[in-house]
Amino acid sequence: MQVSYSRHSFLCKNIIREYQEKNPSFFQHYAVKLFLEKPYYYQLFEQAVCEPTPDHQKKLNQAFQHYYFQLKFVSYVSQTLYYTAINFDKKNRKHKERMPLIVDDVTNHEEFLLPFDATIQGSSFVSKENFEFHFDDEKLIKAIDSLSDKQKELILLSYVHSYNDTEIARKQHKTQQAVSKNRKRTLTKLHEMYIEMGEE
Amino acid sequence: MMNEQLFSLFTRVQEDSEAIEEIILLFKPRMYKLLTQTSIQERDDLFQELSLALLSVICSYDASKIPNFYELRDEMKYS
Repeated sequence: MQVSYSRHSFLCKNIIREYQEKNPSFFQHYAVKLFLEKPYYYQLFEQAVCEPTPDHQKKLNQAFQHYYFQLKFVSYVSQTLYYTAINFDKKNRKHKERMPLIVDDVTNHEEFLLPFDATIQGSSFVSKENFEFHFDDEKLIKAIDSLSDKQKELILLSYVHSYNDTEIARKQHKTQQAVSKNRKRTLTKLHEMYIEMGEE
Repeated sequence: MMNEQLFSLFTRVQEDSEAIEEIILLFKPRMYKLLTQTSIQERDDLFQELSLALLSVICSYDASKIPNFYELRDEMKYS
Protein backbone atom coordinates (compact mmCIF):
# COMPACT_ATOMS: atom_id res chain seq x y z
CA MET A 1 0.00 0.00 0.00
CA GLN A 2 2.73 2.33 1.04
CA VAL A 3 4.86 1.41 -1.93
CA SER A 4 2.07 1.99 -4.37
CA TYR A 5 1.32 5.35 -2.82
CA SER A 6 4.89 6.60 -3.07
CA ARG A 7 5.12 5.21 -6.55
CA HIS A 8 1.98 6.99 -7.44
CA SER A 9 3.26 10.34 -6.14
CA PHE A 10 6.56 9.77 -7.94
CA LEU A 11 4.74 9.15 -11.17
CA CYS A 12 2.62 12.19 -10.61
CA LYS A 13 5.66 14.39 -10.09
CA ASN A 14 7.09 13.13 -13.35
CA ILE A 15 3.90 13.86 -15.18
CA ILE A 16 3.82 17.36 -13.76
CA ARG A 17 7.42 17.98 -14.75
CA GLU A 18 6.71 16.82 -18.27
CA TYR A 19 3.67 19.02 -18.36
CA GLN A 20 5.67 22.03 -17.25
CA GLU A 21 8.36 21.37 -19.82
CA LYS A 22 5.77 21.21 -22.55
CA ASN A 23 4.36 24.64 -21.66
CA PRO A 24 7.34 26.69 -20.53
CA SER A 25 5.95 30.16 -21.22
CA PHE A 26 2.66 29.32 -19.61
CA PHE A 27 4.34 28.49 -16.31
CA GLN A 28 6.28 31.76 -16.50
CA HIS A 29 3.04 33.71 -16.60
CA TYR A 30 2.68 35.82 -13.44
CA ALA A 31 -0.90 34.73 -12.76
CA VAL A 32 -0.08 31.04 -13.11
CA LYS A 33 2.93 31.38 -10.83
CA LEU A 34 0.93 33.14 -8.14
CA PHE A 35 -1.92 30.69 -8.55
CA LEU A 36 0.25 27.60 -8.07
CA GLU A 37 1.95 29.09 -5.02
CA LYS A 38 -1.26 28.53 -3.07
CA PRO A 39 -1.26 24.97 -1.65
CA TYR A 40 -4.99 24.51 -2.16
CA TYR A 41 -4.80 25.44 -5.82
CA TYR A 42 -1.68 23.38 -6.35
CA GLN A 43 -3.61 20.36 -5.14
CA LEU A 44 -6.32 21.05 -7.70
CA PHE A 45 -3.67 21.39 -10.38
CA GLU A 46 -2.02 18.12 -9.36
CA GLN A 47 -5.31 16.29 -9.48
CA ALA A 48 -6.25 17.67 -12.86
CA VAL A 49 -2.91 16.80 -14.42
CA CYS A 50 -2.41 13.34 -12.94
CA GLU A 51 -5.99 12.20 -13.14
CA PRO A 52 -7.46 14.28 -15.94
CA THR A 53 -11.13 13.64 -15.35
CA PRO A 54 -13.59 16.28 -16.58
CA ASP A 55 -14.60 16.95 -13.00
CA HIS A 56 -11.04 17.74 -11.87
CA GLN A 57 -10.39 19.85 -14.90
CA LYS A 58 -13.56 21.79 -14.39
CA LYS A 59 -12.66 22.50 -10.79
CA LEU A 60 -9.21 23.70 -11.75
CA ASN A 61 -10.60 25.83 -14.54
CA GLN A 62 -13.10 27.50 -12.32
CA ALA A 63 -10.67 28.16 -9.49
CA PHE A 64 -8.15 29.63 -11.88
CA GLN A 65 -10.67 31.79 -13.65
CA HIS A 66 -11.86 33.24 -10.36
CA TYR A 67 -8.33 33.81 -9.23
CA TYR A 68 -7.27 35.43 -12.47
CA PHE A 69 -10.38 37.57 -12.49
CA GLN A 70 -9.60 38.82 -9.00
CA LEU A 71 -6.02 39.68 -9.97
CA LYS A 72 -7.05 41.57 -13.05
CA PHE A 73 -10.06 43.28 -11.57
CA VAL A 74 -8.24 44.49 -8.47
CA SER A 75 -5.34 45.87 -10.45
CA TYR A 76 -7.66 47.54 -12.94
CA VAL A 77 -9.71 49.15 -10.19
CA SER A 78 -6.60 50.25 -8.31
CA GLN A 79 -5.22 51.95 -11.37
CA THR A 80 -8.51 53.60 -12.18
CA LEU A 81 -8.82 54.93 -8.64
CA TYR A 82 -5.23 56.14 -8.66
CA TYR A 83 -5.63 58.10 -11.88
CA THR A 84 -9.01 59.44 -10.83
CA ALA A 85 -7.39 60.86 -7.70
CA ILE A 86 -4.58 62.43 -9.70
CA ASN A 87 -6.96 63.96 -12.21
CA PHE A 88 -9.10 65.28 -9.40
CA ASP A 89 -6.10 67.05 -7.91
CA LYS A 90 -5.08 68.44 -11.28
CA LYS A 91 -8.56 69.78 -11.88
CA ASN A 92 -8.65 71.40 -8.47
CA ARG A 93 -5.30 73.05 -8.90
CA LYS A 94 -6.30 74.46 -12.26
CA HIS A 95 -9.52 75.80 -10.80
CA LYS A 96 -7.67 77.44 -7.93
CA GLU A 97 -5.19 79.06 -10.27
CA ARG A 98 -7.87 80.44 -12.52
CA MET A 99 -10.30 81.56 -9.84
CA PRO A 100 -8.26 82.84 -6.92
CA LEU A 101 -10.34 83.74 -3.89
CA ILE A 102 -8.47 87.04 -3.42
CA VAL A 103 -8.98 89.10 -6.53
CA ASP A 104 -6.84 92.12 -5.56
CA ASP A 105 -3.96 90.07 -4.23
CA VAL A 106 -0.59 91.18 -5.59
CA THR A 107 0.56 87.92 -7.02
CA ASN A 108 1.70 89.15 -10.37
CA HIS A 109 4.51 91.69 -10.50
CA GLU A 110 4.03 92.34 -14.19
CA GLU A 111 0.55 93.77 -13.84
CA PHE A 112 1.95 96.79 -12.08
CA LEU A 113 4.36 97.53 -14.87
CA LEU A 114 3.65 99.22 -18.14
CA PRO A 115 2.14 96.83 -20.64
CA PHE A 116 4.37 95.83 -23.50
CA ASP A 117 2.39 97.51 -26.22
CA ALA A 118 3.17 99.74 -29.16
CA THR A 119 3.94 102.80 -27.02
CA ILE A 120 6.77 101.02 -25.29
CA GLN A 121 8.28 99.58 -28.43
CA GLY A 122 7.81 102.33 -31.02
CA SER A 123 10.58 104.59 -32.29
CA SER A 124 9.64 107.42 -29.91
CA PHE A 125 10.33 105.08 -27.02
CA VAL A 126 14.06 105.10 -27.71
CA SER A 127 14.19 108.79 -28.75
CA LYS A 128 16.49 111.27 -27.05
CA GLU A 129 13.56 113.15 -25.53
CA ASN A 130 12.43 110.10 -23.68
CA PHE A 131 15.82 109.69 -22.06
CA GLU A 132 16.01 113.39 -21.19
CA PHE A 133 12.72 112.91 -19.45
CA HIS A 134 14.04 110.06 -17.33
CA PHE A 135 17.66 111.05 -16.72
CA ASP A 136 19.16 114.30 -15.46
CA ASP A 137 22.85 113.74 -16.10
CA GLU A 138 23.85 115.40 -19.40
CA LYS A 139 26.85 113.14 -19.84
CA LEU A 140 24.81 110.01 -19.21
CA ILE A 141 22.21 111.07 -21.78
CA LYS A 142 24.95 111.68 -24.28
CA ALA A 143 26.49 108.29 -23.58
CA ILE A 144 23.16 106.52 -23.91
CA ASP A 145 22.45 108.34 -27.14
CA SER A 146 25.44 106.71 -28.76
CA LEU A 147 24.12 103.21 -28.06
CA SER A 148 22.16 101.25 -30.63
CA ASP A 149 18.35 101.28 -30.51
CA LYS A 150 18.27 97.76 -29.16
CA GLN A 151 20.60 98.63 -26.32
CA LYS A 152 18.65 101.78 -25.52
CA GLU A 153 15.47 99.82 -25.33
CA LEU A 154 17.08 97.32 -23.01
CA ILE A 155 18.33 100.04 -20.66
CA LEU A 156 14.91 101.67 -20.57
CA LEU A 157 13.07 98.44 -19.93
CA SER A 158 15.28 97.14 -17.19
CA TYR A 159 16.27 100.34 -15.36
CA VAL A 160 13.41 102.74 -15.98
CA HIS A 161 10.48 100.35 -16.08
CA SER A 162 12.08 97.75 -13.81
CA TYR A 163 11.27 94.69 -15.84
CA ASN A 164 13.48 91.79 -14.93
CA ASP A 165 15.53 89.86 -17.46
CA THR A 166 13.13 86.96 -17.64
CA GLU A 167 10.19 89.20 -18.46
CA ILE A 168 12.11 91.07 -21.15
CA ALA A 169 13.29 87.80 -22.60
CA ARG A 170 9.77 86.42 -22.76
CA LYS A 171 8.40 89.49 -24.53
CA GLN A 172 11.28 89.76 -26.97
CA HIS A 173 11.38 86.01 -27.66
CA LYS A 174 14.95 85.64 -26.50
CA THR A 175 16.44 83.56 -23.76
CA GLN A 176 16.92 85.03 -20.32
CA GLN A 177 20.66 84.39 -20.57
CA ALA A 178 20.91 86.37 -23.80
CA VAL A 179 19.14 89.34 -22.27
CA SER A 180 21.30 89.19 -19.16
CA LYS A 181 24.50 89.07 -21.20
CA ASN A 182 23.35 91.93 -23.41
CA ARG A 183 22.40 94.06 -20.44
CA LYS A 184 25.76 93.57 -18.75
CA ARG A 185 27.66 94.34 -21.94
CA THR A 186 25.64 97.49 -22.46
CA LEU A 187 26.32 98.61 -18.89
CA THR A 188 30.05 98.08 -19.28
CA LYS A 189 29.99 100.07 -22.50
CA LEU A 190 28.09 102.90 -20.85
CA HIS A 191 30.48 102.90 -17.94
CA GLU A 192 33.52 103.12 -20.23
CA MET A 193 32.00 105.95 -22.25
CA TYR A 194 31.01 107.82 -19.14
CA ILE A 195 34.54 107.68 -17.77
CA GLU A 196 36.04 108.71 -21.10
CA MET A 197 33.78 111.74 -21.20
CA GLY A 198 34.78 112.66 -17.67
CA GLU A 199 38.39 112.84 -18.73
CA GLU A 200 37.70 115.22 -21.56
CA MET B 1 -11.57 33.35 0.29
CA MET B 2 -11.34 36.84 -1.13
CA ASN B 3 -11.24 35.92 -4.79
CA GLU B 4 -14.25 33.68 -4.82
CA GLN B 5 -16.13 36.32 -2.93
CA LEU B 6 -15.21 38.97 -5.45
CA PHE B 7 -16.09 36.87 -8.47
CA SER B 8 -19.43 35.75 -7.13
CA LEU B 9 -20.22 39.32 -6.10
CA PHE B 10 -19.35 40.52 -9.54
CA THR B 11 -21.58 37.99 -11.26
CA ARG B 12 -24.48 39.07 -9.05
CA VAL B 13 -24.07 42.79 -9.76
CA GLN B 14 -26.78 42.90 -12.42
CA GLU B 15 -29.58 41.60 -10.21
CA ASP B 16 -28.38 42.46 -6.75
CA SER B 17 -27.63 46.05 -5.79
CA GLU B 18 -26.23 44.89 -2.47
CA ALA B 19 -23.42 43.18 -4.34
CA ILE B 20 -22.29 46.56 -5.67
CA GLU B 21 -22.23 47.94 -2.17
CA GLU B 22 -20.17 45.04 -0.97
CA ILE B 23 -17.64 45.48 -3.73
CA ILE B 24 -17.35 49.16 -2.86
CA LEU B 25 -16.86 48.14 0.75
CA LEU B 26 -14.02 45.85 -0.29
CA PHE B 27 -12.24 48.71 -2.02
CA LYS B 28 -12.87 51.25 0.69
CA PRO B 29 -9.45 50.91 2.35
CA ARG B 30 -7.78 51.59 -0.99
CA MET B 31 -9.88 54.69 -1.50
CA TYR B 32 -9.20 56.00 1.99
CA LYS B 33 -5.51 55.63 1.35
CA LEU B 34 -5.80 57.83 -1.74
CA LEU B 35 -7.81 60.39 0.24
CA THR B 36 -4.89 61.07 2.55
CA GLN B 37 -2.97 62.54 -0.36
CA THR B 38 -5.34 65.44 -0.83
CA SER B 39 -6.23 68.29 1.51
CA ILE B 40 -8.82 67.77 4.22
CA GLN B 41 -11.34 70.14 2.66
CA GLU B 42 -11.43 68.15 -0.55
CA ARG B 43 -11.56 64.62 0.82
CA ASP B 44 -15.33 64.29 0.66
CA ASP B 45 -15.38 65.43 -2.93
CA LEU B 46 -12.62 63.06 -3.87
CA PHE B 47 -14.30 60.17 -2.13
CA GLN B 48 -17.43 60.79 -4.15
CA GLU B 49 -15.38 61.00 -7.32
CA LEU B 50 -13.61 57.73 -6.54
CA SER B 51 -16.85 55.93 -5.74
CA LEU B 52 -18.24 57.08 -9.06
CA ALA B 53 -15.17 55.81 -10.87
CA LEU B 54 -15.43 52.46 -9.10
CA LEU B 55 -19.12 52.21 -9.99
CA SER B 56 -18.47 52.85 -13.63
CA VAL B 57 -15.73 50.21 -13.61
CA ILE B 58 -18.06 47.68 -12.00
CA CYS B 59 -20.75 48.39 -14.56
CA SER B 60 -18.49 48.31 -17.59
CA TYR B 61 -15.97 45.58 -16.73
CA ASP B 62 -16.16 42.62 -19.08
CA ALA B 63 -15.41 39.42 -17.16
CA SER B 64 -16.14 37.13 -20.10
CA LYS B 65 -12.73 37.86 -21.58
CA ILE B 66 -10.94 36.25 -18.63
CA PRO B 67 -9.48 32.97 -19.89
CA ASN B 68 -9.69 29.79 -17.84
CA PHE B 69 -6.74 27.51 -17.12
CA TYR B 70 -6.66 25.58 -20.38
CA GLU B 71 -7.52 28.55 -22.56
CA LEU B 72 -4.63 30.53 -21.15
CA ARG B 73 -2.31 27.54 -21.58
CA ASP B 74 -3.18 27.19 -25.26
CA GLU B 75 -3.00 30.92 -25.76
CA MET B 76 0.53 31.00 -24.38
CA LYS B 77 1.53 28.01 -26.48
CA TYR B 78 0.76 29.66 -29.80
CA SER B 79 1.98 33.15 -28.98
